[in-house]
Amino acid sequence: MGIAKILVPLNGTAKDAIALGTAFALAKTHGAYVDAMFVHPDSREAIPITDMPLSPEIVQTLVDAADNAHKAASKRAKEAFSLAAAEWDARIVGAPEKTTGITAMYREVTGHMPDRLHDEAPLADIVVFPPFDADDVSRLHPAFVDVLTHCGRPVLLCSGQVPRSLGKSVLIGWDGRSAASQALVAAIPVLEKAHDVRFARVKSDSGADHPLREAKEYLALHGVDAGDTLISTPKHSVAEELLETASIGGNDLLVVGGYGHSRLMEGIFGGTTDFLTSHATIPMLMAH
Amino acid sequence: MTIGKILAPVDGSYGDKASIENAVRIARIFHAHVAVLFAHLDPAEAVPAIGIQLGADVFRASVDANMKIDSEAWSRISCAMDAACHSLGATVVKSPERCAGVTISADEAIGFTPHVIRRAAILSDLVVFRPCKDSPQTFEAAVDVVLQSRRPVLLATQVPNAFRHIAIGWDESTAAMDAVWLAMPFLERADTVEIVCIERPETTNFITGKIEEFLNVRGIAHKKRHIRIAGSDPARSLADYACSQGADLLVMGGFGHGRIRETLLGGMTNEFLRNTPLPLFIAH
Repeated sequence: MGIAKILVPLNGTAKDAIALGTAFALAKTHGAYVDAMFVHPDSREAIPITDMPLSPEIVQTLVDAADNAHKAASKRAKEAFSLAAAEWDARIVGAPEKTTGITAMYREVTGHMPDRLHDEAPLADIVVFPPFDADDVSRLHPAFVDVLTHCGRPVLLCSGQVPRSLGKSVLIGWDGRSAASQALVAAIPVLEKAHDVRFARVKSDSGADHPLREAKEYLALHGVDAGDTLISTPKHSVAEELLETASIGGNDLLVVGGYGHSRLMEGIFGGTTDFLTSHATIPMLMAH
Repeated sequence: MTIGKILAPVDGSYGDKASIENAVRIARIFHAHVAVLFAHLDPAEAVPAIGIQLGADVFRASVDANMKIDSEAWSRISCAMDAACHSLGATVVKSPERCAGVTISADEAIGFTPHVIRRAAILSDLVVFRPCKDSPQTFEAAVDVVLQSRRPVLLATQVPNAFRHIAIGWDESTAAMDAVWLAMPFLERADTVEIVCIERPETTNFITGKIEEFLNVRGIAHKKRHIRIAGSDPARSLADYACSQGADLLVMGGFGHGRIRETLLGGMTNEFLRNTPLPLFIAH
């Protein structure tokens, strides 16, 4: 069983095109169904909480303005979806069904992005996120952290552009710890279809649970032969080294554990995951 | 997911032969590898703690006795593997490798059993347990830790050669959703998939009815039944119902772990885990 359903949250910005292109690229390899979901915040949230009561007219104006903004955003999202579906020859369906070839559906739901994704992610095999905006009005980043750490599904974080290929030449960041193992297991459906797979061995300060040999053995049992390269003395941070190694090696996907160290540690020392998510030059498949 | 590596923890008891056979039967369905893991305490640490200082020779005798037990267990395991290979057509290999048929290897891991099993489970696709009457606490602890690391457990006294009729215990929980997601390789191969909806008064979860959409998008035809669970052991009622319908496997969520598992409404009691009426596929 490979990847059957890919969930893509949309928010009406230019980044939707990148997320959709990446999702369809993945769907193509697996004959999957793409569920493009625009999350519509509740317009009543535009009403500010103030000391002075606002007149009904002002409240209505604010809600209407929010409504219009959301309508415009959903229109942009729907257009981005139609364009991407046409480009990738995806068949648009009214309800999910299993067929050969890519199928897709666009829908709109109301609510908070993190809550909606928390409910929807368990129904999908993977969730695709666009690169994050600095302001992140639609709260995609908290949703990403929640799906990664609480929903038990892998996430695919896009780079700054639609990839030309996805999952043909894969680099796996490996430090032998638990998150890396979860990412490896989660990535199996993608790795099984890759042309070449390589581990980037990273030294871990605290004890690694799983030597590279075990990871390679596990992959071999799934019919995947992997090479490896060692990042011995990182000149920069681990994250930068991984991205550089992937870039030099011409890889089109990086598989890496997300938030493998405690959030507190990452907060203090400027974590690998946060660096990767804010400097994504290559799509990344992550699990925790 | 695909099932390429099945972990079969054994503990040196006489039940190991059946455990290994179960794992090989399942491996045959998926052309997978069986990694047998003999997990036990360090012989020097498994000395009884009786509250008084042991003399050096008593200690030595105790360690020697433990080593002898472990060595006998190891040769029993080896025989059991050979027997399973002979009757079920698998091949023993020194270390895990993929071949045309089913392969089986064995490894020994010394340490606190549940931890050792958990570590091995993380780089596996499925862990096959057989209820262990000799040391039930270790067995339950092992099941709990595997579930915590989000690897599925298949718990059975004996398994058939194929799982044709699969029942899904559905209570709209995320644990049940995760169990179904992980059980896909089994569901794809079944002739009959039956969703058994467990009606409980307090559930108001979003994914009502979504289980059907989940199965439809993956091309899994299914039937749906609603049953009311009465009594204090919902897991047992569900399992008995599935059995009565002729199911070979029951897929269900793990409902938490340890004490939480036992006390939560719908949780599986240790009693239930030790005595399942049919094979269970559990995830958490």
